[in-house]
Amino acid sequence: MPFGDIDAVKRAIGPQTAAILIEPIQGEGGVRVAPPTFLRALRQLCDQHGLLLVFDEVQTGIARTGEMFAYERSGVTPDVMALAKALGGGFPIGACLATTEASKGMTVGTHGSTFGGNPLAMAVGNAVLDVVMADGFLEHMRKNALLLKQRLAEIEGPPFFGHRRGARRRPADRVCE
Amino acid sequence: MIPQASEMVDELRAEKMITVAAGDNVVRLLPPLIIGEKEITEAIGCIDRACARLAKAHVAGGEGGVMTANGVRHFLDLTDIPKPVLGGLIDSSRVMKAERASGSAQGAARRKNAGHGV
Repeated sequence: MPFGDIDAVKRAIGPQTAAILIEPIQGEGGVRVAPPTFLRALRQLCDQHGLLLVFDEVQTGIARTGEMFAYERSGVTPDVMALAKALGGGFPIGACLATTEASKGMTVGTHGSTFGGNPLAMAVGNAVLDVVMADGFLEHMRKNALLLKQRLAEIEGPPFFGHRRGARRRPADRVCE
Repeated sequence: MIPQASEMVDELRAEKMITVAAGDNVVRLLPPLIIGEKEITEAIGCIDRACARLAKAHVAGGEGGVMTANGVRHFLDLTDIPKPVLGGLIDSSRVMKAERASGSAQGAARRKNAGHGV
């Protein structure tokens, strides 16, 4: 599916379509930020067709974009969201969040996992959230993110240093053009 | 001419900085949320040195130049500069290069005063 092409998405929706899944900021794809207008259009499409909008926030969730979740930047709320990475602060953990409405389809016991809900991982996740949600943490982080961006801009130098991508917290330097 | 992201990743690893290549020739930086000013300065130093080495390998090629990242920018920006100015710039860059080769402190002082208005 071409990134940001709402018409292509519309054409791809068929009777078998259950959901639309997207990274609000592509990670492996090269830190490409989905335009908020595109995400809003997806939300609208999902509402029209009765589909779930699923955000993969594995790479962007837990403050990695300057907001707690990348979706907050777009003003679009997903029905289901996948989290991992930053939630564990280095410890392996994954989580799936859903709105009350969307989670009606997944009651207790319908989705099992051998290591799901591992007590140590849950304790680590809790500890990470204590730090990240503490007063002033996000502000301090945003300040340093801005500093990093400024310092990166100062070494604009080499011709192979293209434009910088990413939201506040995820600078990616394009080595191209 | 254009280095691959993986080359940049390798150069940065040599600086003990871990990054990841992604997508269409993109280098992903992986700053922790708790990064501070000191670490940012350190990281920028790593990136600057890595760039300088890549620039030397890819742009200055064969010339055995010691161009820094900024030197390379000036070199490449020449395309938009009127010819007479360009001539002057090339001359001054030759002087700079010669000075660097001789490694004289005097030369460094002169260079600082001269500037080249790019």
